Amino acid sequence: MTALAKKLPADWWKNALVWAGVIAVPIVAFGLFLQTQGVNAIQTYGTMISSTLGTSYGIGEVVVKSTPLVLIAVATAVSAKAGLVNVGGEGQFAIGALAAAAAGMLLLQDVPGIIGIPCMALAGIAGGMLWSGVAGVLKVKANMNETITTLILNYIAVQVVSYFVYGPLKDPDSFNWPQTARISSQLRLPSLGGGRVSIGIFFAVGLAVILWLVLKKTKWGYKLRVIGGNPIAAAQAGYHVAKNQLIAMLVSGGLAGFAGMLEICGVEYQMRQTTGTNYGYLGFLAAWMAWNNPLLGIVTAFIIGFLSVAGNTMEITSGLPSSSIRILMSIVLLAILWKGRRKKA
Amino acid sequence: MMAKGTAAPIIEVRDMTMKFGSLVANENINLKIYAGKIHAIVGENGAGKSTLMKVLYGVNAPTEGELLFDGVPQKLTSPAKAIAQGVGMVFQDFRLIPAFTALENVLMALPKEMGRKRAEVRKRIAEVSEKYRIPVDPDQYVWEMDLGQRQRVEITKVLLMPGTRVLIFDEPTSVLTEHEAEAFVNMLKRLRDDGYGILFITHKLNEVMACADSITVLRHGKITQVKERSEGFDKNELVRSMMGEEEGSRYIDYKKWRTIPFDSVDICPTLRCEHLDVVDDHGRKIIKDVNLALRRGEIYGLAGISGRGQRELMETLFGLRIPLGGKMEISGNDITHAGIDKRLKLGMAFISEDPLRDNVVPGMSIFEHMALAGVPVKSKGLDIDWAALKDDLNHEKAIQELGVPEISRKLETLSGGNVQRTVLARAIIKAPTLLLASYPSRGLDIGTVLTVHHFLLTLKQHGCTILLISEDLGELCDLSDRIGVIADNRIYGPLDPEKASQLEIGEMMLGGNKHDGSREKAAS
Repeated sequence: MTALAKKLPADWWKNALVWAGVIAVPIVAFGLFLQTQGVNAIQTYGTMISSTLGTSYGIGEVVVKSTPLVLIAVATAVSAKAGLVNVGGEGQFAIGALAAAAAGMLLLQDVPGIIGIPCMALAGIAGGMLWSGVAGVLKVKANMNETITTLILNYIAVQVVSYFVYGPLKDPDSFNWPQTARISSQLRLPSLGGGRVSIGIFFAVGLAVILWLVLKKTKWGYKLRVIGGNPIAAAQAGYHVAKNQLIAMLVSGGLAGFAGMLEICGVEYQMRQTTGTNYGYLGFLAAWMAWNNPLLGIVTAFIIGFLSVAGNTMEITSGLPSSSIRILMSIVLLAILWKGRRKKA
Repeated sequence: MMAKGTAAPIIEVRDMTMKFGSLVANENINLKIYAGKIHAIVGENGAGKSTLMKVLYGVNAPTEGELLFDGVPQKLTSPAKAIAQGVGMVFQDFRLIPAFTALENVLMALPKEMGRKRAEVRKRIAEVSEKYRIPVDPDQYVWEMDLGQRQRVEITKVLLMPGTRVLIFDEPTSVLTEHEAEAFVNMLKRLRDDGYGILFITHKLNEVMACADSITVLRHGKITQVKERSEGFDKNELVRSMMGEEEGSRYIDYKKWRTIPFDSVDICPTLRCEHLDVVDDHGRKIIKDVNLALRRGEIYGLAGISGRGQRELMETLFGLRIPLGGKMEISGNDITHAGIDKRLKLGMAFISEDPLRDNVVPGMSIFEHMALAGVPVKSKGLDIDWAALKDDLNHEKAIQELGVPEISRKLETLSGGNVQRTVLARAIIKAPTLLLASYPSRGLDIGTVLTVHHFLLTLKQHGCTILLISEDLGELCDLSDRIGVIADNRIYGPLDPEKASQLEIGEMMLGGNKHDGSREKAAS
């Protein structure tokens, strides 16, 4: 009889109303927070929007910020489909960026871009895969929880990056700043219209679409969804659960590592100790906001990118620390998760 | 019978109708539950039994009509309200936490002040256990228990809740073996004699006829018959009112299908096991030295009390569990160390004993589930050709005849019975050479069970070998060409179902095992 008990789909206007609430509640709640801090909320929201979406520079900054978030969101989604919660985007991104920067400055300095950039991409992907692969192997061979291991690996990655930027890879001309030398100019991605925005965004969005297709429209995607949905069912269907989870983990790390490489080649041109800090967590946030759908992930990554950039303006105009924008992000995430909650039977 | 007809009913359902959107799940139901009486509700899958039960337990509020407790109308807005009225529910899928012991599960369910008195509750469990003969080991973990044991924990839990006076059982015997079911019916009688009002929802008529004081038959959400014991129960009449006139007269002549002589030998058997040692989750040998040779086109039935290694044996044969020693072959191919994918390719199919746990992938539709486990699918580019698969499935006889719901429905939203139909249909469509079937008719109604039997026999006729595990000895004897019995960590037999009586098999099942609660029956 549970068959009959299945709820009929709610009316569209009800759904629309819920969505309106999901958007409005965080804005209102954060607005109230701003008011308690003695800041005019409406004015602040106004500047947040006009300073980011109102100027071409602002829009550019949003795109720059969103590019890695899109890729990390996709990376998170791929592993999530296989039933793995990979919070290691942060570390995989950092190691990918480090590997790409190292390859760029040590090996590819005099190589033409057409060869050098793909080589850097491979280095970045390999770096990310190495980092996620460790967690993947620990998962499938030792049954260690991947959420914990990827998280711990993030901290190790920070130390590894520090070691290199303070040590062997430190730019001798940097006046002791912890950063590598800049990669040579032919290794940099072409920018769009001469600004800070590189063509990296096309790669990010393109990969999101491709991964969406792979997950949705291929046998491997189907296999992965079965494994993530019910590993026992997958095993009984003859699928190699461990092998495919490891592959998903490698793909995930590869995407995050590629994001790191794009950051080096498209934005920073060098590895600094702070390169990509928090991108991993923000990308993870974007993925879960999008219910791990790569296409929706593009949208949520842009929302978070927008909020991050707007947060900087907020710091300037309202005097609140820019990190207080995280409060808004978290409320948005909670609201979206609430919307997607499972109805109790 | 009980002379309590004059007392007010504990629960009365008056003109109750329950609608979900445009679906009418229950229509105009009237029902009275008295203290000290067993009231049975029978009906096929989808007849509206579970909906009715959920209304009584406060899960669903009825669209029309009312519920009266002790003659006073009450609105049950939540199960907590129902519990406060003394309603105790024993669910089909038990609400137990596997990582906890029986005692801990009981403690958790009890109100706070009682839940802290560990020693006292332990004593009460022992008392209830003794009084109603519900053997429960309070310190055993639920994950270690078989379904019968879990059910006993669930019943104990409900009995220990303060104020319970009505017990509702949802398909309680569908997870029990024959012996356990018999013990269960006796327990129901003891509970009744102690003054509990009992509502017993089932589709097994034999049990109902053995213990019920009154029977209400549901069909398509409506009451089609109400019978008191004093009027006498007529099984055929009940079947007809459950299934409708036409369906109720279906019948299979099992003897006609038994074509392989009992003693014939197959030189190249479909499944051969030699000295196979099957281990359980703790690494203990649960069945030792299994030697089987299953002939092409035979149904080999395995009888045994639940939890004697049936699951572990099936999982070992299917490759989900590694045996401690021994050898397995399919049609001459050594599969001892083969992966599941290879076994599937060699034509194996597996119906697990718990399809809800083992087979349901959340978010996926029925047809997406059909593409799993070796059902032939075509490719389209990099993807599975879903359109072609849907088309094939819609013309598939097994899907239609087993009554699998519309194939784009999500499997997780379906009832246990419908999941079972889906899993069965998938195995049948695969047309395997070896089918490992655990409890294939569990949770299905009489009509569908007959259809399942018909399909199994048809598979066998086409040369498929079936290893059949069932809790229903009648079913085993009807379908099997040979029967093995699991007892004392071994497989005994084979027996000829034409010659061996169910009683004989039942006694073998009890074996020399001394740690079993139902052993006293072996002596009788």
